[in-house]
Amino acid sequence: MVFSSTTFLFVFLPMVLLGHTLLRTTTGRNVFLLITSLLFYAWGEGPFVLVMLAAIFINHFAAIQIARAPDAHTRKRSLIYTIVCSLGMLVVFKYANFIVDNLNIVLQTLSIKPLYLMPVHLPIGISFFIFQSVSYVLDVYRGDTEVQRKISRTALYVALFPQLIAGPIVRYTDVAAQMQDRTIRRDAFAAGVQRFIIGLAKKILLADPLGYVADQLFGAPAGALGADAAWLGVVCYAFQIYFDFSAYSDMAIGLGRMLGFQFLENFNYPYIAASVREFWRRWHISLSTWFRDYLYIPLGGSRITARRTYFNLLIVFFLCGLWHGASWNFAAWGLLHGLFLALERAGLDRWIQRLPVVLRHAYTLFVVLIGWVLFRAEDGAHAWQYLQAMAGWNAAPTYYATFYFDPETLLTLLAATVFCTPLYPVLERRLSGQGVWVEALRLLFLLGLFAFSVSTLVNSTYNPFIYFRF
Amino acid sequence: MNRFIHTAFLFTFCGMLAYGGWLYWRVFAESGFSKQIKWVGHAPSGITNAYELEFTRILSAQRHPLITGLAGLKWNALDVSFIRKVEKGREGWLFLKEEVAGRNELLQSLGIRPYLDFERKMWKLIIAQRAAWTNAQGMQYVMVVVPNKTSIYPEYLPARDRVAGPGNLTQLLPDLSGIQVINLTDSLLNQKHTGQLFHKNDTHWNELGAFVAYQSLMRALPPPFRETPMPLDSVVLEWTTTPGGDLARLLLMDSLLLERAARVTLRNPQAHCETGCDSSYGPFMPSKHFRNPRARLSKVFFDHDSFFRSLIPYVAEHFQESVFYWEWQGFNDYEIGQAQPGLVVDEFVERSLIGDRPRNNPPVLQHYWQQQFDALPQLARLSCKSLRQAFRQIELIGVEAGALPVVALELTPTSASRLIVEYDDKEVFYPLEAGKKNTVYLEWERPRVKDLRVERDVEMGVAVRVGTY
Repeated sequence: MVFSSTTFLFVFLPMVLLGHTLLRTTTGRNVFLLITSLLFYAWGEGPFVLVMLAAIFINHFAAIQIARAPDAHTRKRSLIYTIVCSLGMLVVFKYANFIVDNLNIVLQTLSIKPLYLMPVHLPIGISFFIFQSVSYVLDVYRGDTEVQRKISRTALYVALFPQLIAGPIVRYTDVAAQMQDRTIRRDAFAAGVQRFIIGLAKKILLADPLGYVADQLFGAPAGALGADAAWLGVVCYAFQIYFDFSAYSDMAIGLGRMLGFQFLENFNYPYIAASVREFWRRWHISLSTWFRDYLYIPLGGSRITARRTYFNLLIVFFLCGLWHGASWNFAAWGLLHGLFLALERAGLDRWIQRLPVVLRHAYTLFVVLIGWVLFRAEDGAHAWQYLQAMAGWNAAPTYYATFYFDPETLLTLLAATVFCTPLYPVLERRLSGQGVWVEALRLLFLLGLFAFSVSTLVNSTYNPFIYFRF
Repeated sequence: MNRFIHTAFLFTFCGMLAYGGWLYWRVFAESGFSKQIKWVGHAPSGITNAYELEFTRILSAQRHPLITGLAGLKWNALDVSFIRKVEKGREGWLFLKEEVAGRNELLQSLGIRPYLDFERKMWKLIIAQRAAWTNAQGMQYVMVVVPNKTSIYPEYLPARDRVAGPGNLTQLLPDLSGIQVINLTDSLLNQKHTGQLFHKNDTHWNELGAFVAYQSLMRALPPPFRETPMPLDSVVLEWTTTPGGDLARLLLMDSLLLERAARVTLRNPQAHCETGCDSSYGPFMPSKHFRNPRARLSKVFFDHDSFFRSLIPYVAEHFQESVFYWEWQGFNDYEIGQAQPGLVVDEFVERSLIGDRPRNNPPVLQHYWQQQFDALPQLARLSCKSLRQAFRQIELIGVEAGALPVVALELTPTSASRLIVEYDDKEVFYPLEAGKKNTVYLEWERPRVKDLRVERDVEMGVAVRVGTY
């Protein structure tokens, strides 16, 4: 089930909010949330909810085992088994076909009979809940958190529906106390509703329409794209991925607040970054900090030789790329970012700092946009052709950007440009002390935005057959 | 005061959720959707996803403000239609844009989206197979292309939509040498001075456009089916005000967007309809059978789409017997075989030549590959213990990009059976005779082929040859 669906908005959400509000104890609320979260997941994934339950069981009991272990050697061994099991599940469900496909290429060059593997279903959100459960075990191993002995709480931590399928990747330490005891205050609830509305609007009014343009242009034969059309496609995709992903985080954070949880921020206006390093401090913060804390720092962080640090950055970002999907495109995207992070660390950053601020932003956006081409393209050949189109190397292009410039798309592009900067929160802060009528107008605007988003959502499934007669 | 405002905000938000919930369940109860519930996929979301589509369909049928409000807002404030299927043109003209994913009439007519080599090759193959099968039955085959409205009236498109290239037909038609093709585009473009040939807010030509198309068609048919068409003064031409057509209906504005439309009536019709004479139309219109004993020409079979609906009365005048079979992109070899006409007219509207391709029926496909398979470059030869093994082995064969694997399966069942091939979500059946070697040819378009089995799951060995087209 996705948040931007009528079933979620009109059935699941009211049911959860009503039930959660009527229950008075934290334990009762936790049990209720666990049941509804499992229902939420099973509604979309059916029997694959068992995969998530398996991850919960493995990591819950492993954490207890680690906490109980008499010596460091046993603790370490338990940790390794747990990580192998958890990541093994990820490999089976997410990477098995990718591995076999690549293995077959090697086998065929060696004239060995290739292997056949049926397409394996990818349970939605598996990357998130596996990383979340692994982080819990690692925190217990490192003594950063107390072990949780109630499996219902570990299960709730992993399965809590707002952050289950698209993050943010919540750390156990951040919500442990809230699972123990939480109160729901009216102002926090109202703030959660406001955040949810903003997320829903970002998804439906900005990400989806611009995603349509991006889909059209990335779905077109790359050899027929004019440079303007190719750039429009990647810009629309950049907006789509940002507004889609950050909208989901907004909705998760908003829902969390309505339920009494406080999740950390996941995005901080990444497109205003003036370097790739800054971009990663602002983009998908919960993932980048996960990789920093559980991979980059254990590999040595920045306490080792410069060369080794650069190499580690490439390794970390290579894996970060593959985390996004089982394809070489994602690996290439990760490597591109890793490369620029290494270059900036090696001295490029100092040189960039001397440039005018506009050029620093231009440099960052250029690297990020090139990265999005790798991320969005079907395969390497498509990415290369697309980049050629962006460079204006197509001899007789037929696709041109203005074809997509209807008033609605232009307005959406303008709104997307404005809302990917911190203009709205600045405006909101300025207006906050201007009296009750301004506040009333702001809330009225949000309610209108909600109605408009819902109307657009319902319309988005309006897909009549041309011969259909009402 | 601030506290009151926040409380009011929360109550309104909850009220909106409650209203949405009430609407959701009310439509569910009234629509009878509960009786249609089918388990789709592996999870309950299959049911709610289907219901969400039904929910919107019913709200739009009821002209609910949730739908019409947004439609009106976009129409008036942004000068755009609220759905991507329709492009709002100039001077009240509407155009079909993206009918379904992958079939964008606008991109096609403006020459923006060229065929990929593989697509062009596949269309050529589909038409060639139909022509070869028809000719083998002793009939003539003619392909007729009806232009998109956008190809005839691009001047009414918004200024941002400009012609970028020659278009798909210019790419495809030279490939069809040896096949009789009648492209009606030029004749319609040349006759625009006679009056408005297409509806403003419908995808189709009006009756005047249909008459002009009929005249061009009769002049272009191959001998002995070519005949001088009736002149325009042999019909009564009137202009009437009609409610909006299919495009206006898509926008839920058919009662608002009226237009003047041509009405053409034959002064002295000779042909009479024998079967399927109900004048109602839709995607499931029955085949129509006309007779005109005074006509000179013998029997004709039209495999057509909605465009030929208004052409039928004129064309039927010329043939002693004419059968009109409505099937989008289709080619009904069975009906043609039953009718035994001298001429088969296979009509396509221009936009039907992009996007999803039809797959010819097994007899048409088998006939073609029986003749052509051995001439293909051979890729592999396998001997498999079962069809399941054959399926896996074929899937693993590396095929270069842009090539279509064609598979010849040789099966020798002990009892009469059928080979079942699952293409996408449809099953196609190939009869197998008992005790003899049956060769079945399959176009193995990945990933459309999902499964391969024999009825009643009889296991048997199978020899496989794979060629590439």
